[in-house]
Amino acid sequence: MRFNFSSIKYHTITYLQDNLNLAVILSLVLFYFYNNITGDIETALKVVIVAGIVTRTVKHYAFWGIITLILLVSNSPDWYSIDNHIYLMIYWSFALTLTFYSSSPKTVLNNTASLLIGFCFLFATFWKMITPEYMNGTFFQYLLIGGDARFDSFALFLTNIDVDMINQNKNTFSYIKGMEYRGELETLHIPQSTVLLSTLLTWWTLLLEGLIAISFLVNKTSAIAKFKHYLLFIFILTTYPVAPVITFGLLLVCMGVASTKSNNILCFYITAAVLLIIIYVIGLN
Amino acid sequence: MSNKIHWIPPLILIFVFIHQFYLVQTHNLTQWKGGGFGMFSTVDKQTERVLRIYLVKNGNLIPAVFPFSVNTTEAKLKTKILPAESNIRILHSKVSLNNWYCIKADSISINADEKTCLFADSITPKLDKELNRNDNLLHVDSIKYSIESVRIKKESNLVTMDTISSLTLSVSDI
Repeated sequence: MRFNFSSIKYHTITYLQDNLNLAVILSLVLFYFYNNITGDIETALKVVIVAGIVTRTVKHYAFWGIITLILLVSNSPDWYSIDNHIYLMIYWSFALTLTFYSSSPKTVLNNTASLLIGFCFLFATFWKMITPEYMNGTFFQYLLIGGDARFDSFALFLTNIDVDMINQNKNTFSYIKGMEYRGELETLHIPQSTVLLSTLLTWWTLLLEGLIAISFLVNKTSAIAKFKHYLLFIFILTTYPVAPVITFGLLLVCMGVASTKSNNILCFYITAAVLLIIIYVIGLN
Repeated sequence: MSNKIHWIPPLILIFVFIHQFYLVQTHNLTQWKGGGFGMFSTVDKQTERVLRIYLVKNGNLIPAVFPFSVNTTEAKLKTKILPAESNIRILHSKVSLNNWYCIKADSISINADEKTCLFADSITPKLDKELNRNDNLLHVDSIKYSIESVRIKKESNLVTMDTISSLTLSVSDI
């Protein structure tokens, strides 16, 4: 038996050029490897996914309906404790259920994906805008001075804060959260360069997230909508190397893929997915 | 209906956001949680919240070490995220089952010059006896739950803890 590799290559490329097929494949990777559930329920989810691939039913609404049900049941006891991307995963698997239930799957998935991205970023922007602590730069200052270990290297590289200052601030945060604390005010080490960087990050994030929300929610023929995938791509590339929430990143890639028909943009998203997985696996941050 | 089917998941997302917004405004749910996409907008996330408990005896408040167990840890996390009265009552139903004994704080490496109370582990009565815990048992009237959050004062580079919710419940109130 001889394999015709050029034929396989042709069929593979043709298959992946279809954004619906690519969205399904990336979603399967996401749900199989990065599902954020554990134990028997995770095993059940993986069995369903493998069964779907073997029986070629991954484009059937019942397949995605079962996955939605598994995610919903496994996460419902901790509904207020789970992270935001778990909600988005559940919406996404439900969106795929409705997509394959409908008579025009590509249109349905394209529209749902755009709306989910748009509203997700709209609400993220809304919360930032109504929170004084965010708007006056305090939040990013907190991240840069030792409040979040994921930002330590970033702050050390871009500001004149040093390891001692970060450690002292971490000790202060630990102290005020401990049993010995009796309500006194404690001093933090906040160099001026972290103030400047936090102001820049505050407005950069707000502007970028706001533009993504608008570009995905406005009419597709409007000027800003033409840049929506580039804006989302910039967001993924500038956010997840620092805060590598792989599930959120891959979800945005899946939804981005579903909302475009351009082969060039599909290549962008595949590149982003590969980069996200590399960043996650090697722990770049 | 079929041409509007794509609106169903986004409408659920909007509904969850409205519910989350309501809980943040009325029950101090942390913005980071609840599905409203408020993460990375405030310092006030669950890891920056502290749940302190105080034993109340004859009107005096005595700080106590939070009792550690699988049941209380899960209830504590849920209360920190959403310090609604219903969650505090669920936590109280588990915490108030403990016996308490009090010792000098510095004897357990807490340098506060006050008395601190620990929970007496009801599953090890033999150990309780060996440590003379029973001699120091405190019969409390009620327990005060205080949920506090880190607050950074930008103008002065100072940081403190603000109380965002507190509730005192009688030990018989379970």
